[in-house]
Order: sequence, then structure tokens, then C-alpha cells
Amino acid sequence: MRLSVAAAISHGRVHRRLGLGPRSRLDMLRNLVTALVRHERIETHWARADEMRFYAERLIDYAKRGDADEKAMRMADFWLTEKDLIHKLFKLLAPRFQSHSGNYTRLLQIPNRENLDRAKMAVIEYKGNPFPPLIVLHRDNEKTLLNQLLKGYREDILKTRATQVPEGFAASLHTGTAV
Amino acid sequence: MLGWGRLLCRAGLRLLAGGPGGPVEAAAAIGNRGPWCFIVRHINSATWWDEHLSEENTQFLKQLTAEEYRAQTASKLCPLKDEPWPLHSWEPGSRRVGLVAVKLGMVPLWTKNGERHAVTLLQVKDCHVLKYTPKEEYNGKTATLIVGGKNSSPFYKPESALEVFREAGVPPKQKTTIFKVSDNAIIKPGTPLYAAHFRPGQFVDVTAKTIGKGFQGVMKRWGFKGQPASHGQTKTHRRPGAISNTNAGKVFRGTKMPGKMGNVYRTAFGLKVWRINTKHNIIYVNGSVPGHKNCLVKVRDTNLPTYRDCNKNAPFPTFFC
Amino acid sequence: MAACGRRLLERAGLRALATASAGRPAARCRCFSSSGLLRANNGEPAKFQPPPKPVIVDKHKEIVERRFLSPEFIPPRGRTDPLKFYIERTDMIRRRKVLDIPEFYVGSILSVTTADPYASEKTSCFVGICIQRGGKGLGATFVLRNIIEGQGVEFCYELYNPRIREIKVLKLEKRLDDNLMYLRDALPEYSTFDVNMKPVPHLANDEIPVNKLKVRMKPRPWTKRWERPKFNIQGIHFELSEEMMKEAQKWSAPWIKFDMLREYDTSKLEKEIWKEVNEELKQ
Repeated sequence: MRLSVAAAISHGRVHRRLGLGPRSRLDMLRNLVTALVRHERIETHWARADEMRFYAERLIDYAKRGDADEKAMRMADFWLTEKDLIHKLFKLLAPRFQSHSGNYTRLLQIPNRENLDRAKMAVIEYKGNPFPPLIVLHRDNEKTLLNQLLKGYREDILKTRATQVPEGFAASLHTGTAV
Repeated sequence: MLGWGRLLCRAGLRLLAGGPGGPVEAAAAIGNRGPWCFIVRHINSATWWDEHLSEENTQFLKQLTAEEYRAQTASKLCPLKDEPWPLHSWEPGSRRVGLVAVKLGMVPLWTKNGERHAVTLLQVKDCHVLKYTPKEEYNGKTATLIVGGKNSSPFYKPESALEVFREAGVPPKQKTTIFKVSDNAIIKPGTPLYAAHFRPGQFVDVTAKTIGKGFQGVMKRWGFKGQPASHGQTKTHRRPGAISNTNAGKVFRGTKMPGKMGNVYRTAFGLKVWRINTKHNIIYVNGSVPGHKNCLVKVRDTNLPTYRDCNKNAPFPTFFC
Repeated sequence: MAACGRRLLERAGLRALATASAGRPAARCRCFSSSGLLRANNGEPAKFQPPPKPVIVDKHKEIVERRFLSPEFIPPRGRTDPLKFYIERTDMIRRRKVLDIPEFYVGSILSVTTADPYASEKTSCFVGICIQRGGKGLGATFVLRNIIEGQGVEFCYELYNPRIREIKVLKLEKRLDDNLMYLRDALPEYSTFDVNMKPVPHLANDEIPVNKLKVRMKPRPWTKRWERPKFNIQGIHFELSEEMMKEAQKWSAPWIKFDMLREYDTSKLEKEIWKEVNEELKQ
């Protein structure tokens, strides 16, 4: 279930209306999920990607149950329209996310579509895919003045706390029992 | 010690703020689509995260502020320890301060004689007095107290907004409101307020922002009757009908028309307090209250002449624990 | 009043008898369990066996013990603060400590006694079949239905209303559906129950029996089109033409069970709440 400010006042409506009706909405999302499992990174409308993200993640949850599980198999059979991908889902993606608990996809907004209708667009991908990373987080290096100042302060505090070990330890113990 | 360290850090931040404060943009070339530009949320106010702190420093800061706020809340729990302002007794015409509470939802409640009432649960969460403005500074008539409720993160607020909280020595709040109080009901900033501020049997007014309904027609917005569904109606079922007359020859101001509905502050007056839970700080208020679930509401003693007598015996100026 | 009292006494006596008699067959059953047989084979020389029996019985009990959590304890899906449900639960438990609310299901036959200031005896009693359970938390309700003097009567009771004096399960069973609102459109004999019905004994740890009764309906029109797949009703013996049944299938949405957004898995939550409630109730 999506939790956002917009959804908070939506009176229980948790999903968007896409396509020509409920059937069409699921069919469209099915095709998108299939494409995502095949290519591991796709570009669509932001709304569609946001809507499909939930299903893509729940599909992995089901795949983690193993291919012996009947319900998981039926889900995979429904959500992957191209049947050769079932093998990939159970044998490649499920083991990849075995150590994760949720949050298997990454959604990033890209500039609006220029040539057609200026629709809000997005890229969605499964994490751990073989492609080059989309976003390079370049935090400023450690050597800036501010980071150095903070580092010094941090070490100071650690040092003072280390000297007061008995007291601090006792205090923490005390609070632990109190809570 | 902690406060001093934070001040130093902030000074350093302000010095550097001019430098690398631009939006974070990352570009990666994929296929032949050329460089992609990722839009990352950028607000033009100076918060902590514009400074590109390193991973360890970020964690450190988060931990440190959490500890600091916990210590602040703990130290404020008993304001009687560090000399409160002189306490006065209640007299007719006194106005007490109110509370900021979170609306939890509604439940049924049965009285001793088996009557059923629907009540709203309002939780008083981290409610503190923040600031006192004397009447000379406000409008020359009444003094005011600013009250805040529900702690929030300081990292997404600009420095200017945090000043009030630092002076009061409490964590930043999600919602702050002003209460007009009489001169004998003023409370020292930093005092925590509890649900026991109200007593069962009292009557309160609750103010909150109503649920936004968007652009609505006259039937939903003003309760017009509309027109019949059949009997020869052509394209006229939910329309307003006439909006003026020939003699006036104009549409009067304030005529009820379609438009945006909800998302405005409304007050429910004269709601009875049925029950108080002092352990979890919950007020059980009769009937419904404006706003959606989990929204922050303002609760104060009602001033309706009918119920004024019921509010005499409340703890004055507030409940000290 | 006196008659009523006698009836109650009778009932109580019957129940005591029933529980006493029920104890024996169960013990016999446990004797036939595999572990008992094994023991018999091993210990052939010495045919004397009574002492180990109680131990086996205890083990059996532990395994079979059924966990029941009343459905109103499970919070609805949404964005409400869990604290609200906790607060409600504490109130519900307080009420349950005063009034014993038994385990019952849709399809069980109950008798409910309520305080009624206008009744001659200050209490009124109603016997009927539970056709619906609704609401969550303190506002939970259940609907009882019976036909009295040829007139269908339904009562919607609030489970935690302090006016309710006693809830007694006369017959503990389930039906094929979770909602029996279609009994309104069924022939009256299916919702007619004897007001002076005697309680049917039921063992504490037995499986809940499922009554596989299929009801016959009055001629159409009904309050709802029960043949539509939306209701997914098993407990009606439809006497409609082939064409009509086919027409109803037009509204089937077989893809809906694949919509993962609709799933609400409460198993974990249920376990936690069951633990909390049970601990509180034992105190």
C-alpha cells in the first residue's frame, strides 16, 4: 500500500485508475512487470512506474517462497506474460534478493517527455542489476573544513565518554532497566 | 556542552553555505540517449543536508540530536523543580491555555446508564509551551502563549524556524498555535502540557483543518436540493438553478456557488470531555472533530455561555506533574 | 419467570451432563491414537497399562489446542495509529473479564440476554442464528435472525454493549459462507429455530463442525443477486436456468485474486494480538 500525503485524503482509494478499467489496469501493469523482469531497468510514465513498483516487489516476495510453492508459481504465471521469464524470476532474482527484506526496486524521476505530451517520466530498476549505476552519489570528501570539524568533535565526545565509562555504563544500564 | 558543540558546527555550516550549496545533479550516459539529468529535491533554504556531510558525520549528528532531545524532554518533565512563574488562582473571566493534540479516531463509549455515545480520541503528544508574548507586544488587549505539539526532525527546517524551540529548550514541533490567555494564566515557556489539563465533564472547542474535498458542486458543497432525476428534465439534475433576479440585475457577493470545498480551519464548539487517559495522555471528546485521522488539532476550553460554569474546576493555570 | 428459571436450570444441568458424558468418548478416542497402540505392542507381556494414559492425553491436548481470536481484535487495514487499537483492546479486555463472550461463528445458534428497562422482567432473551459479524474493535456487532410467529426478526447486537447480560452458544458450528444475509431471501424454514432450544454439547478442543446445508430460496427477485460471483456463495441451492447462471458469470473477475494490492496478511498480527489478549485475560 502506498503511503503518501495525496493518499492520506483519498478516502481509502489506494491505487490509481489506469487504462480502460480494472482488468485493463492489471494487464498493463502485467506487461510492465514482465518488461522489468526481462530488462531489469525500464523507462515509463512516472505514475505507471510508481503503481507497478508495488507489484514488482511483491512478486519477488512470492518468488522467495521457492518454486515448489503453488501460490507463488501461479502468481508468477499470471504476472509474467512471457513464460521463459519464470525461470529467471525463481533462479536469478529470488536468490539475489534473499538477504534483502523489501525495497528491491529503485525509482528515479527523469525529465518530462519532450516530443509528445510532456508527461512525467521515470526510470525503474531492480537493484543489483548489471548495468552502470544511474546515480553517482558524490558526497563531498572527508577533507572539507566542516567534516573535519565534526570529526574532531565526534572523537572528542567519544574520548570523554570513554573516560567516564563506569558512570555512563551504569547510567545506560539504569535507563535500560527503567525502560 | 552539547549545545555549545552544535552552535560551533552551525557556525561552520553558515560559513560554508555559500560554497557547494547548489542542487545535486548526477549524470550518466545510457545507450545513445545522451546525458540524463536527475532531478533531486532542492529547497532553497539552508538546512543541514545542503552541506554534504560525510556518512559517519550524518549518523553522528542524527544520534547526537536524538540524545539531546531526549535529554531536553526528560529535563522538562517537572517544571516545578526550576522555579515556575508565580501561580495565581482562578477567577471569573480567566482564560486558560489550550493543547495541541493528535486525532486518533473514533470509538463508541457507554455511560453508566447504558447510553451509547460516539467519541473521538485525541492524543496529547509532546505538547510544550514555547513562548510568552505579553499584551503590550501582541495587541495591547490580551497576552498570548505559543504552544507546540508532536516532535519533528530539525534537519529539514531552516535555522530561523528553529530559534523559538531553542529558546524554550524543547525539541522542534510539527505544529505550533497561539492561545490568547488572561494575565493570571500565563505559564513559563518549556512547560509540558498533559491531557490532565482537562477534566471529565468539561466542555471544549476543537479547531482543525477539515478534509479537502476539491472542487465540488452546490449539492455537496451547500446542500442544495438539485432537480428531479426524471419527469422531463433536460441536462438539469444537480445544477444550482437561479442565482439572482431581474430587479437586482447582478449576482450578489457571497452567493453560494460551486467551488473548492474543505481544507479550511473549522471549529467544533462545546464538545463534552467524557474521559481522560492520563497514562497515554488521551482525551475522549464527544462526537466528531474536524480533520482527518492523525491530524493535529487545537483543543481549548469553550467560551460558550451555556458551558462556562462547567469549566470552573479545571486545574489552573495547567496540570503540573 | 419461574418457568424461565426452570428452563435455565434444566439447561445448566444438561450441559453438566453433556460435558461429563463427552469426557468419556474423548478419552476412548485418545486410546486409539497411534502412540497408544505402539505402547500396547511393546508392552504385550504386561497387559496392565492405565498409568501412562494421562500423560498421553496431556500431550494430545497440547497438540490439538485450538487458538481462537475473536475477529474484532484484528485491526482494519489503514493508516490509523496502532495506539488507538491498543487502547480499544484494553477496554475490550476489561469488558471480557466481566462478561464471558464465548467463541462463535457465523452460522452458530446463540441466545442473548439483554437488560431492557421496558421489559417486564427487566431482561429480554432472543435465540437465533448469527448471520453476520461486523465492525472492528469496541464497535463490533453481530446479527441474530429467527422467525417468530411467521415473522422474520433480526437483532443487531453490539458485542461490547454493557446492556448485554449473557451470550450463550446453543450450537457451535460454521456454514459454508462467512455471511448468511441470503437467509432473508431463503425459505422461512431455514431461519426458524426453536426458542427453547437445548444447548448442543461441544468439546473444547474439537474441530468446529461445518454444516454443509444448502438452502432453497424464495422465487426471485431477491434483495441481492446472490448468484453473482461477487458474493461467491456456496450455501444456496440455486434453482435458476442454465442461461441465468451463465449470465451471472459475466460479472466474474478471475484476475482479482492476482491483485497483490488487495492482500492483507494478518497472520503475524493475529499471533501477536492473541498472545497479548490471552496474557491479559489470564490475569
